[in-house]
Amino acid sequence: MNELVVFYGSGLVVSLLGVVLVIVALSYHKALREIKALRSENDNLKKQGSALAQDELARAREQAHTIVSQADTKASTIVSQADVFSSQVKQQFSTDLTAIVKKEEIDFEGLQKQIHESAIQILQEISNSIKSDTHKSVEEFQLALSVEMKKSQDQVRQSIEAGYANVKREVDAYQLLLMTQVEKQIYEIVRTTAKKVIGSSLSIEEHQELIIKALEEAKREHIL
Amino acid sequence: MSTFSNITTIVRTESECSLLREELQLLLVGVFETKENTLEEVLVRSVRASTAQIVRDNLAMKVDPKSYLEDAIADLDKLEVLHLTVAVEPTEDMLIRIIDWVRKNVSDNVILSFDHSSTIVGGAIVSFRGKYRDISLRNVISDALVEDHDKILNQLKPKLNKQK
Repeated sequence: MNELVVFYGSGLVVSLLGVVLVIVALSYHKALREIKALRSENDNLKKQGSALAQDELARAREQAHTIVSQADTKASTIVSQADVFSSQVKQQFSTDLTAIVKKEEIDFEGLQKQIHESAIQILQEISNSIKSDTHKSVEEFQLALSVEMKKSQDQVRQSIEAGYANVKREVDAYQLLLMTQVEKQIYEIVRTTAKKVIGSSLSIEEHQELIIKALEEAKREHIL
Repeated sequence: MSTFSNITTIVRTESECSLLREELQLLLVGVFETKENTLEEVLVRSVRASTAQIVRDNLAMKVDPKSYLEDAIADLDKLEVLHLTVAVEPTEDMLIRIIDWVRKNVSDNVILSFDHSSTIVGGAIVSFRGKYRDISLRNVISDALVEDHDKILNQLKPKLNKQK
């Protein structure tokens, strides 16, 4: 029983849903047609607006052309009227300009004189400053130069003294060498002379006698 | 010195003195040995005959060997040395003559020390008690040549110039 109720209920619900769906479809179709009609009307309006705008532009050009022509004419009239007063104005302007120029010339001369005086004063100050600076620089340079010269002189003197000392050492060494050689040669001469004086050589007895004589002399001189 | 002068009489030079001192030191060591006749063995085997004879003669006078040897070494240490530089090696005769002259004219306590240098030509360089004297023939001749110093240098100059 229940199953039959559910079956028939369901069928009723489905039928209702189908009716609703048909209604919705019909409404959608109607809306589409209205939108299409509106688009077509919009396009027509745009075309009409464009034609109207072009007409208005053409009318505006014509009016502008008319205004420019009128202005040109009016300007020519004004210019011609202006030429009538130009000679007086020019004369006045010239007089004023001459006065101004004179005044400016006077001012310029005064200014030039001031500038000249100022320039001379500045130049004198600069000259004095340069003189002072130069004098000071020269003094400093002289001082530095004298110091450097003294340093150089000291260095040169030291170098000369060192060189002299070196040379003196070398000379002394060479002198010593020569003296040694001289002494050797003197002894050689002494030996040669001794041989010549004494003969070829001394005998043992003669040596013995010479030694005893040496001892005797040492005793006489209180060495022994 | 007076007691054992015969010991010092056999010493004439510094080298002889050193040798005798070594011998006496050996004998002194022998005296301290406990064995019998050790001193005699040293006398026979380790010292010269002349030394052995003098020691025997002195010990025969019944002196104490130890004291005798110690005194003898002390006497040797007291001897003064006369240094002589001579031109030739001294012969025995020369040595006897020189030491006789020294003992007679200077002192009995003096011994000689010889140096040999042929460059002194002859004579001797004497050095004694810190004093020194060159009495060589070389020195005598050199002194004589000093008077002719300038002449010698003039003779040497050409040689020196060549060496430059």
